[in-house]
Amino acid sequence: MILLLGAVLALGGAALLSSLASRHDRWARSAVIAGLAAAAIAGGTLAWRTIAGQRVSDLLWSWPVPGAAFHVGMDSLSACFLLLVLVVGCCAGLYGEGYLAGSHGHIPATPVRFFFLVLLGAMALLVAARNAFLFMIAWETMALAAFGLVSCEHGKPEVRKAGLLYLICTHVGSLFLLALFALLGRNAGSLEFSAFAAAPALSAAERVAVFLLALVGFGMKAGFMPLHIWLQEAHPAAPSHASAAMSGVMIEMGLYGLLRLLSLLGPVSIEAAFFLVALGLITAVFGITFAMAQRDFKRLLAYSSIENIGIILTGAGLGCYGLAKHHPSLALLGFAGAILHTLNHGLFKSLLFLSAGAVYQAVGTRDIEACGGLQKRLPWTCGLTAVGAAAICGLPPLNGFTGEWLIYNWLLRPDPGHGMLFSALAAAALALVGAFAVAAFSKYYGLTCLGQPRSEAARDAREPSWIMLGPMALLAALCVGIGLFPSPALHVAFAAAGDVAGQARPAVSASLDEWSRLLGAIGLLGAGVCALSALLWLFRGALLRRRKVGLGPTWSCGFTAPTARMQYTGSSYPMPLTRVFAAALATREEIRPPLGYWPVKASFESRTPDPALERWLPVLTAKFEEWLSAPRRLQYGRLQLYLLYVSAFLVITLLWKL
Amino acid sequence: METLKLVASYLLILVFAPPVMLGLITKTKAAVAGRKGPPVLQPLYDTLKLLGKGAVYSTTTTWMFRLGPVAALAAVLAASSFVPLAGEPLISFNGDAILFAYLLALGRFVTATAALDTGSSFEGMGASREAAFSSLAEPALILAFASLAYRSGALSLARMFSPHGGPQAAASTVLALGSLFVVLLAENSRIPVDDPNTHLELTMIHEVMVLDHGGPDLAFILHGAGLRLALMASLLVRLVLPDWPAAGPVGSLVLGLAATAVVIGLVESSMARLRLIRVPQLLVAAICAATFGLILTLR
Repeated sequence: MILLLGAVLALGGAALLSSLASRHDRWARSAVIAGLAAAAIAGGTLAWRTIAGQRVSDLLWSWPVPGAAFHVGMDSLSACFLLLVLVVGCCAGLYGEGYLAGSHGHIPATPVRFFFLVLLGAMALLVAARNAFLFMIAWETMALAAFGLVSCEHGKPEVRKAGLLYLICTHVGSLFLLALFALLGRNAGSLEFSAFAAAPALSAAERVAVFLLALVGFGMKAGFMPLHIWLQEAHPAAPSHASAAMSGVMIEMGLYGLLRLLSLLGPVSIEAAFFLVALGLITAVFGITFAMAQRDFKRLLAYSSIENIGIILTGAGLGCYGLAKHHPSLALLGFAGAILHTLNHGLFKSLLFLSAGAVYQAVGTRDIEACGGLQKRLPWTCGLTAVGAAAICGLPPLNGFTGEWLIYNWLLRPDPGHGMLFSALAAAALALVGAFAVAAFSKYYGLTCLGQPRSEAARDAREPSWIMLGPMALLAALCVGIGLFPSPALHVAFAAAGDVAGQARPAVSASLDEWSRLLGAIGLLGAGVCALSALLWLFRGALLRRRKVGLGPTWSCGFTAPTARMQYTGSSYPMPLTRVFAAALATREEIRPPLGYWPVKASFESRTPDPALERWLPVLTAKFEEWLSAPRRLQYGRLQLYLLYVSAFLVITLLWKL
Repeated sequence: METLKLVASYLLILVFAPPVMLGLITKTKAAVAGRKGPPVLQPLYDTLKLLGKGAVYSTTTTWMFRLGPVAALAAVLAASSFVPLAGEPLISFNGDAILFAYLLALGRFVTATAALDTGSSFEGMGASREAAFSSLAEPALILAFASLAYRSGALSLARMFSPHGGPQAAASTVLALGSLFVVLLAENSRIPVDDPNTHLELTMIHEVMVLDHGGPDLAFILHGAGLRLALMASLLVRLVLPDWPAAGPVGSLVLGLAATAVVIGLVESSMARLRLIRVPQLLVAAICAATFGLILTLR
């Protein structure tokens, strides 16, 4: 456990050092890189040992606060998430140094470095915390550090708005978590996690309350629909490497919380499991449908995070179903699918956010319709984007397929018993999500990187520095590596799933061997696809060697003066689908058609606002505001009045006590 | 020896089934229209001719444009190894049906991105339509797979697509067959979803995506598209037709594929292409049919 402390301290120390050395950019940068490297080595060793089956004893220090103790421990579930924090965190942190240098002072370097490292340290502590008090401290530190990152460009009004929205959301979530731990702590008589597990059984009503509190508290962070409202605002506002860490790791901490609670409190009811699966599928379909309709590419990526969280929640719900039905292998399969997809999502989503950041820095806009033709100008960045886009669609030779395939196998297993129809419909919904992801990400990659540049800025874009490309290449290599050799990642996922399902190692490894064999075959087939492509490529080369290969303009069916503006755009590409879902999307269009005999000006503008944030929430808050308007009369904004309140309050309390 | 025979028949089917099926469809349409039509092997001659040609690449394009046809064909070839083309498949395991569906999706992804690489609005249009319609075909495919998987007790194509169940399963088989046939028409750009022979780019889907490809690239694309048709058709054939002992497994499959080609030709001769706005309705109907089939399986 000393290793974990070392990792957290390295990150925290680097955060402090980098702010102390804020005048000397090179020193600050060295501090960040040294801190990340130290944390990666220490934490990585610890996680590796734990997953390999070594027992690591807990570390317990008393704390002079009632109920609190500095109690950290490590099991496979913690180790799995710690690994994710460190891999994504180090890649994003390294990239961040290049990103800050490339922003030419638009982004304040000192607070970004500080908050980023604090965010990583808090998450590393969070996954190891074994005491509710410590857990909440790490949780709040994480939330506040992320707030610092979201609102670092606070000169822009939309960034301030997004930061405030995030702050409110995360605190509402924390409030629910406080209530949750208060309820559990009262029952157990202690805030230790082990005491929660050993506590007398909760009554039925209490169990429902715990389930709902946890769902809202953790779901607010994870972004289950309709609690996702902050996500698509905050992710675009943060600097790209921070978005990568937030989207690739931080929102997954909500799922970690749910899984940890499951491992402590045992199975939920069948109805709750069904509810989780349904919620997951709704979240996934919702997320990807809205992702398709976005023009801002970081918003598109944020919505796709909502989609992936939905897929992960579906897997977790299926695991809960297995637990509730006392079907250990099903429970294991569902949780392993969820955890494997969590790991995969962490990798490809951070890759996509990092490459999106490189594009943003090169072009200066997040509008897909101002990009295009970047593959010729940023070949590396765009090539890595292609890998990430294919991986996030769940296409076979890459890692995205592996987790989804496990979930499909759960749903379409041969002996489903009851709930077959539900399973089949869930599989169909997953298929729909997968196909929509292909539409959304062929749009993102195809319209941003391919074709002709749609703006001057895109024409002059240049490749970023190697310090930004290196981490992206590493993440892409991991995506390909897990796709071709899924066994190590599967091992990690099953070990963690065994902890969630409360199963011993031997039972887990029997299941693991079976699935590892099948996924190994899939990896081999993926390698086969690559080899076949290579063969066909060589064949094509051999055929063309003896022939004339010419270059010319794109064929435009006889039209001789095509321009870049005639290309399909980010709004028109998904239109056949967005038209089908028009009622749900409620895209707002402002059309000013050309009028008169000599039309001067015409314009078309479309925007797809978030329904939960801009349509449903105002209805709720209007009622709430009405209630609150009564006590608002007390708020006059005069200092004297507040002093009067304070003195009156003191007098009343004194009188009452006397 | 057995393995050698299996691989040899596999290779023969992979090479010849796609062009012959396309040729038969054209021949049927010509016969219904009272024409003579091109020879059945014409698509094969076209492919061979294209393989011998040079190519012209647009200056807008990058490596993605060149990778698209190659990767798409490789994906379909890999998908073919799960389909029992020669009595049994090359590879079969639990869950290969999902891999099959996703390999076809991989082919779509690379074809669509290669189309977007040209920067032409026509090809963007094709990619956009392909992405949209295949999105709606995907759930129908998976639902049909689900009902067959539950019925056969395995999630591998070889076990799912074999005639069984007797008369009481006939209704669900017919519904699965119907929805899969619609998926086949949609995914392979046949009438009523898309008209491969239209002369107007504005109304095309698949053909307009590959406007800029030529030479060996176009040959790969045409063969890959034909192979996709042949694979889905052979699944349908395996579902309904039992092996005919006189012809052996390969012979029965070939006869079944020929029959399917004639049926597709008849469908194409007897109806017009739907308006693009109507296509989603057809695909949703296929989803409903697959759901009903599933409910009948669960009974």
